[in-house]
Amino acid sequence: MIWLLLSLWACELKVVVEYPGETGLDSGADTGDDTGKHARGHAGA
Amino acid sequence: MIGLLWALGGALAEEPVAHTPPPVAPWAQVGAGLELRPRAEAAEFIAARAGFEAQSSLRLGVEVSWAPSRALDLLGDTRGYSAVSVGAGGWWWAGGAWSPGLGCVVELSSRSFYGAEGLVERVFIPALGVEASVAVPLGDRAAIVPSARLTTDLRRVELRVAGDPVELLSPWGLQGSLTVLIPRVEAR
Repeated sequence: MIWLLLSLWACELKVVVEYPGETGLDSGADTGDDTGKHARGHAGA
Repeated sequence: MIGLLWALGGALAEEPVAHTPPPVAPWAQVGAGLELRPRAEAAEFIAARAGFEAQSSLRLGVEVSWAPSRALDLLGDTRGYSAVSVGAGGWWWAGGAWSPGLGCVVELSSRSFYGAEGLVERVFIPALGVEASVAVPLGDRAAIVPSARLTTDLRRVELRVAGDPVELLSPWGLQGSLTVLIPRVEAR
């Protein structure tokens, strides 16, 4: 029970890791269709 | 009066009853294992622990472990993280040959997130772990210990790429390890 409460509490203590650029994703983001949503610079990165 | 002084002197001259504490029994454990975390590559790790025997069945100690970089499924092969953890805990052993054991560990993990260009960020994550083990005698002094540990992070890590949240690193980890314990758990 304590474990569960600690885990829930931990959800609020979030730290952000920010990766620069956007190429190289394996999730299908780089489909070749440039809709503009993911076209923020770093085209050659 | 003289008798009283005599009695007092005799009482003071008596040797105090020796209450020497039992010698502290040190122990050490080293080994390697594999950590599984949802949506991340399985990662090997090496670990070392040392401490002292608080009671015949309870061993307290500190540990350090290191895991090389592992890739994250949603971020591609070039993005991942490595981890160095330090912790403290207690391990209770039932005793006897093939002694089962239970442990509880509080740890602080330093995770270094890497991209193609190198280190991106290092974050510190506190975590809790519970462990179940079996100590199998290996000669007179040592035991070989297969263990399984469930860990949970007490701080979440949100991974963003170019400002867009991609995923939350799972706080749950499952570790399997094989270590050598010295001295082995004594039969009781």
